[in-house]
Amino acid sequence: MTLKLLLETDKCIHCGSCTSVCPLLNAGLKGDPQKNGPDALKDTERVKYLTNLPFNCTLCLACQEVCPVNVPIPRVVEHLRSKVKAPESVEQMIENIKRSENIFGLKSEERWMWTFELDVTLEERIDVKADIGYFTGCNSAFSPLLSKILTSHISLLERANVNYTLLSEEACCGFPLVIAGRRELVAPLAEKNIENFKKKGVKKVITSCPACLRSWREIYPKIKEVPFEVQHTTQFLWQLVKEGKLKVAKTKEAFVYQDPCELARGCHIVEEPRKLIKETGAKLLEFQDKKLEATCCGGGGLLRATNVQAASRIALLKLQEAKRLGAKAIITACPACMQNFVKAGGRMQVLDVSEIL
Amino acid sequence: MNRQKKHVDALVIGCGVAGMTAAEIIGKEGYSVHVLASGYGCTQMSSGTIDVLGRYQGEEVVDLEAKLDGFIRENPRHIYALAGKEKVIQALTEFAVESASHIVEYKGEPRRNTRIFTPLGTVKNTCLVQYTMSLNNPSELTGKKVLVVAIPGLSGYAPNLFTEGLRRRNVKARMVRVNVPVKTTFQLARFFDLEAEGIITHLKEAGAAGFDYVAMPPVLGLRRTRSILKMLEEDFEAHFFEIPSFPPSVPGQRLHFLLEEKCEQAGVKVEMGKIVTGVKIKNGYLREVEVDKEKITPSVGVVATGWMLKSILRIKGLPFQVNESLNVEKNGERVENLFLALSSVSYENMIGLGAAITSGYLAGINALKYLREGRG
Repeated sequence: MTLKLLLETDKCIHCGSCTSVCPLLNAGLKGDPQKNGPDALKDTERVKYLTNLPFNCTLCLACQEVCPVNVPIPRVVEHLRSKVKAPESVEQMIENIKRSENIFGLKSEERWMWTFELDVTLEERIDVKADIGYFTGCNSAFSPLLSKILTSHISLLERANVNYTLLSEEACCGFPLVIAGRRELVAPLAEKNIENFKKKGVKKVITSCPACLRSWREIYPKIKEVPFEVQHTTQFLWQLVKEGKLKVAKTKEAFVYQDPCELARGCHIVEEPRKLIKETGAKLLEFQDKKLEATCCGGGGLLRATNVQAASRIALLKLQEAKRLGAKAIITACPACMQNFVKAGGRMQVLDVSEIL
Repeated sequence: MNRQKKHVDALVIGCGVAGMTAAEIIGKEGYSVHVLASGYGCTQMSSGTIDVLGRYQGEEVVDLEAKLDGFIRENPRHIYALAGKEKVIQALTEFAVESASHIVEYKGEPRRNTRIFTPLGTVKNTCLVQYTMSLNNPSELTGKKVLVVAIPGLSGYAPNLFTEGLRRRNVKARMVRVNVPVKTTFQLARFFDLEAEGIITHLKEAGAAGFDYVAMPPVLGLRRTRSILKMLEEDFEAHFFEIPSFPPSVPGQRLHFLLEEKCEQAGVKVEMGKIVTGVKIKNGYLREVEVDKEKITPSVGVVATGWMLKSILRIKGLPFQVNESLNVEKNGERVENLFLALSSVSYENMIGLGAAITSGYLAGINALKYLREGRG
């Protein structure tokens, strides 16, 4: 693997395209995709002295997007992360996943705290046979800040009379392990999740978390056959709207949409969320860099766990831009983006796409 | 945050051809010059040949000097018009003459175009070419025996099309395959730098002897080109030349090395991996440039960030319009000590490296003039 990566990085022509789109550098912070990635890998001696430089990266994929010679920089950063000592918070997270199969290290019963906010009873939806499997993702299920993402999605699924199921024994998707450089630990989690959904006779898996989606789409098939289609909820909801099964609420507010990196550059889903927002009649504003060129919110690549100040600074710059545009709220489709925006402060409301529908 | 202030005579943002040319001109005169850039820029994305005006109004341009007059009349906002014909030719002449004593020499006559074969076997007009390509010329090759070296799997290189193109122009061309386990021209060039002897053995085995000329992809080393070329010509008793390739190209990288070498000799400090996050302009003067955790207060600034990476759009507070001396204008007000090279000047009518050299040259001498007069 390393040899292949080395050959790939050898293509680097040092043009600096990656450097000029790095969200950390553009916020006046430390971090440099080129030094972090290709250069570091070639200079094996230096890897030893890199302390947490590979962890000073949002893995937002912007560098890979602009690279004229297609060096897989995020993949290199991921490889380097496996070579250096991880920060304590990341080690803790890895231990948590190993122990209790979620990033927080909590018991799986606590997964259902968010359902208290619901006005529908979920019991007949858990672990039943259904067409659609809803993979919640640990971040939204455990974090009280993000539970609103799940509640709004559930109410939409109920409104559209979708035959869906949730897993009581849902394991972490494994994406946090991948970006922490521990790809080898993902296999048991993947097998468990695939088996669980298979038993329920699911035909399609949907998830509201872009990181989980990438895991399901890119990493799971390498481990085990995934016998169902996997979609992001924005895709699924847009399909429902198109088929006339879901009527959306109407509004006249102005919103700005933040493209989650994993969703836009990772899965190339940029149109569906926008169509959903426009369907409500809302005015859709756009950041200067949008769609595949969107800048990261700062919350990706575990940066929130390894460098809080940097993550917040990047988020605040984005929030300022949103304010300048005159948006009532930032809309996103990713729990990590929402978490980062909310925790960074700033007086801007942050919503998931599902919340305005 | 711990912010320091640092003073330099001239600050150049961007280290492409324009930026480095400007930096070298200012640095040569003994001023302290600092170049900040995110990376090497797009120089390697060019073919490394200096095109000034290849086709104009549907016609091939041979007499460059005469056609430039017409072009300047038609495009009064283009960098060639802003500089004037004499300055364009002066900039190119200086560039070509100075290159002779550096890592890669440029051949050609700034007042006339030369014709070379493109990687697809067609012919294009260009002004200055690297000495490794100077034999790649239709008039020189007609009737000669030419061997085209093909390397299976090498990206950005089409030897079969090239061979066909040569045959169409009455060149006795033959193609031979040489198996080298690399993918890109860059990798092969580095390979040549490290152990040219090994590849020469490969070439001999493939039967490359007994030809007048041997055409290679542009891979004859990044830094050791001169000695590699000499070694090849002695071993095979044939003239070797390079065909331009698709980007990213090795000749482009050599051009960057040439500029870097010139800058180094002029005492210019070049720093990579830097992003300018803010610019402060007060009362018509550039006061402060914010980069990383530093604040730099230059006497004069040159912005040469190029249009390809769009970096210029990311610099906050930077105005876009320019006037005749490449001075930046903000809301109609002139910023006396800030000069803009290429990117905003002529990107709607790009003519490649010729325009880059001209605008770098012009911005450089104007900045120098400003420094000498000691204004501000």
